[in-house]
Amino acid sequence: MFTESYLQLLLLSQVIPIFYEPKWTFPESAVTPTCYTGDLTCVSYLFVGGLDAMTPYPNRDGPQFPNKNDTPGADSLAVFGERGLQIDFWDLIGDSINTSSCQTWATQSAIILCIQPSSIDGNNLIACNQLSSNFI
Amino acid sequence: MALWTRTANTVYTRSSENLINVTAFSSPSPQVITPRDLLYTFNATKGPTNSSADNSVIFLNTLFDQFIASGDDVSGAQNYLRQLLTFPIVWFQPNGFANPAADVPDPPLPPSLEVTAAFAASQRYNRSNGNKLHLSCRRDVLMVRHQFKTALGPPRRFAGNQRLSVD
Repeated sequence: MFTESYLQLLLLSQVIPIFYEPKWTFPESAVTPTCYTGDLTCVSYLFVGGLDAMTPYPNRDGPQFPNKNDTPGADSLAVFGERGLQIDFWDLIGDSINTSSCQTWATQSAIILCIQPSSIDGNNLIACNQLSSNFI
Repeated sequence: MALWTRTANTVYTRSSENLINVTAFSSPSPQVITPRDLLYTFNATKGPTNSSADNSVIFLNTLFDQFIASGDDVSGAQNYLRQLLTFPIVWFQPNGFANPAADVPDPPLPPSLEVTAAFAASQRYNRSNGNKLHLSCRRDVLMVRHQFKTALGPPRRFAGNQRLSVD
């Protein structure tokens, strides 16, 4: 259960560092074929869980795991076959946003966000916001 | 934008908990995410769509200004939008709110997120200059490979116009 204020705090604290978080973000080459058509600029990131999302937590004090400070031979943790989410972004080309896909929040200082499936490949999404008038 | 899941071998340093290397990527598997899935989270975060400007909307506008101030108009605005859309994907999946104090995953996680990990010694590694990471496992610290549950699952799917449970 989340309170609205908690979600707001989470959103506002996590949006800025989300591409640069050294604990669970890794820049990677894009894999979406559309990304490589023409001269599009592809940007892609792999997001993994990080130690915080591991259970049991591997840095927990106690006899279960080697102490991270007392055992220099165990200063790292290698995870085999960790599953992650990879998100590819590219500049929009040959597609357009329908205003019916837009949603507006608030009446003053409003935010307008438009998201819809791509007409080129329905598995991809295209989006824009009114503030930026930029498309991805 | 497009979303994929894939597996890889990852290495974390235990002192800073930073991700320092990723290797052995699997073939990517496409994940379908709908506009509704993304908008659902924003609806819960920003409040009703017809409300007057609330704090989160004001903050998001401030955030936008910071992105613009950090770079040129195009890349700053584009990064703002991209990072805004990434937020619900990364956080609202089965392992988005793990409890690090739990002995077993809380909330429970599917078996597909179970992984094996081993403690190891890493030599100095600099992520920025692309140096190859060297890992060595000493017999006295390697121990038994531990079973962990971690990684990120597919994005959470939302039905209809339901909102996240808000107290």
